[in-house]
This record gives sequence, structure tokens and C-alpha cells, in this order.
Amino acid sequence: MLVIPEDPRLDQYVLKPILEAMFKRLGRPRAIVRVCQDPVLGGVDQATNWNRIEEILDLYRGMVDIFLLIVDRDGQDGRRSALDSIEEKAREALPPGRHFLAENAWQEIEVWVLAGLDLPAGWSWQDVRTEPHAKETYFMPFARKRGVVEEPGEGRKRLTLEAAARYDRIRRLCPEDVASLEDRLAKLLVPPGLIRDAEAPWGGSQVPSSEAT
Amino acid sequence: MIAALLGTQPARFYFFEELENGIHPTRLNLLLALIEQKVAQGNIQMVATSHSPQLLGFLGAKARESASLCYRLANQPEARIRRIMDIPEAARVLTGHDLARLHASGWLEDAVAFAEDRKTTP
Repeated sequence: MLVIPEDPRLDQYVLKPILEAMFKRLGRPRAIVRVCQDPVLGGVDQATNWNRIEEILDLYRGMVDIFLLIVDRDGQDGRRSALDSIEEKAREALPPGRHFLAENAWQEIEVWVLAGLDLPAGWSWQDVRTEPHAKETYFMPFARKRGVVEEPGEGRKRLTLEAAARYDRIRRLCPEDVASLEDRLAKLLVPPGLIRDAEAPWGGSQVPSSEAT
Repeated sequence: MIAALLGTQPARFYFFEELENGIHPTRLNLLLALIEQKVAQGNIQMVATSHSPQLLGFLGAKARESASLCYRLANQPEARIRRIMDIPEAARVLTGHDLARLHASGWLEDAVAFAEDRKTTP
């Protein structure tokens, strides 16, 4: 899987461990999860710009089974429809056996980290979940409280590794994004492994068209 | 390096580690051009290592054919070496993207990691 974040510089510390934990739960503990480093999209506007996505697909279409675009929802109800549009374009652009999924994290990906950790007394999970600026309002104060903001990813590396060890809790507390994404991935991973498509350049993978999303 | 290459008694084989060290980026192409010229004359052979994307971007077509990637896969103890043009998809991608950017972006490491996964996944 190639993960396409809004900005890999910080997002990589969150996305890779949590997605690896997701694959582990799906029975694929050795799945290769790489975070796309170039281009640095630098924000949701660029991340939802089809030209930028198309550039990434061209670089990796011969080797990646599943592309996953992850952006922050930022409290925007319309973000899902923008992602649906990109998924549709990607489906047309990719060769058979390659898949493209897009997900918006409610409301920012740092909330996934907080979902796996014990929150300070007095914090409401519902407040964290609905706050459009959860990174500034909750994650950074949490990281400061833990004394890890000087560590890689302003504490994201350490805190995410801790959180990913409790992936089931993340999944339970984030049904709209994490659990939904996991369900969509499960449909692509047809046991006992991806069905190989001999016509794809590297052996490829193919799911029955009725199950492809 | 220049003294060795242009001296009166050059060796037949050179190994330079981190070719770009101490050289201004705008002069790297001159050094590479000299090396490629001397090697093309057929009297010397050279192996060099580099971490510099910019230097890779200056490689001529023939030198690029000989360029290899040294890498270590996650959770693997040993380093490996592979000719860049033998990395799956490299020949296609290099028709539209320069090697400097592919190196700087981690694409080369991505490509060998995904390729290894395809070899080992049943």
C-alpha cells in the first residue's frame, strides 16, 4: 500500500503505524505500507487536486496494489464527495488489479492517535472527535503534557506507536473513518491473499468486479 | 580526484567514496563530465558512491546505465545492491522523471520494497 498524506513530514508518523495495525487485524501483518514523500502536497487543496494525484499514480501504478489518500475532514461535510470524485477518476486511470481508496479523518488524523490513548481527566471524547482543530486544541496540549513535543514528529512517533498497540480501541472510537476504511480494505483482501492477476505488470492483484469498490 | 585523473601516471582503477563531498553543487557536473570523459577513453575504471540527488541528475546516459542502488529493506539485516535500470518500473518512470527527484523522494527505496514484497508474497 502506498499512503498519500496531505503532508508526509508529520503525517507519516501517524499513518504508517496505524495502517500497519489495521493490516495486522485484517490478517496481513507483513503488508508493505509506504508513505509517499513526493510530491509534498502541503494541504487538503493540493491533496484533492486530481493533477497531483495523477502524478503519483503514474509514478507508482506498476508496483502498488492499493493507493490510499488520507486527508483531514476539518469539519467539512462536503469533503467526502470530493474524495468520491477522486476515487472515481483514479478507478478509470489505474490498470486492472490496482485500487485507490480515499478517506477523511474526523476531524484530523491526530484524533486517531488520541483514540488509542487514555485522555486526561475532564476531556470528553465527543468533544475531541467533533473539534475541527483537534490538532491544536487537543493533540498538541496532550503531547506537551506528556513531554514529547521535542521528539520526532512533535511526539507523534512515540504517541502513535503507543496508540497503535491499542488499535481495536481506535477502531471502536472512530467508526466513521478508521472502521469504515478497514471494512473497505477487507473487501479488497480476498483470503488467503490478493488474487493474482497474471496480466498485471508485476503479478498484480485482482478482486472480482462485484467486490471492487 | 582531478589530480589523480589528470596526472601523468593515473591508476587503472579508482574507488571514490561520496564523490560530491566538498564540491560546490554547481561544479558537480564538471567533475562528472571529466570522469565520464576519462572513463570513455577506455584506460581507467571508476566506482564511486554518492548520496547526492543532484549528482545523479547529472549522470550521462551511459553512466546512468551503470548506476546502482545500495539499500537495506526494513527488518532485514543485510544491505543489497541493484542496478537502477533493473528495478521494476524504473525504465518506464525514468522516461518522464529525472533520477535526482526519484532518489530524493525515496521512490527507489519504495520500488525495491514493493518488488521484494511481490517476490515473497504467495
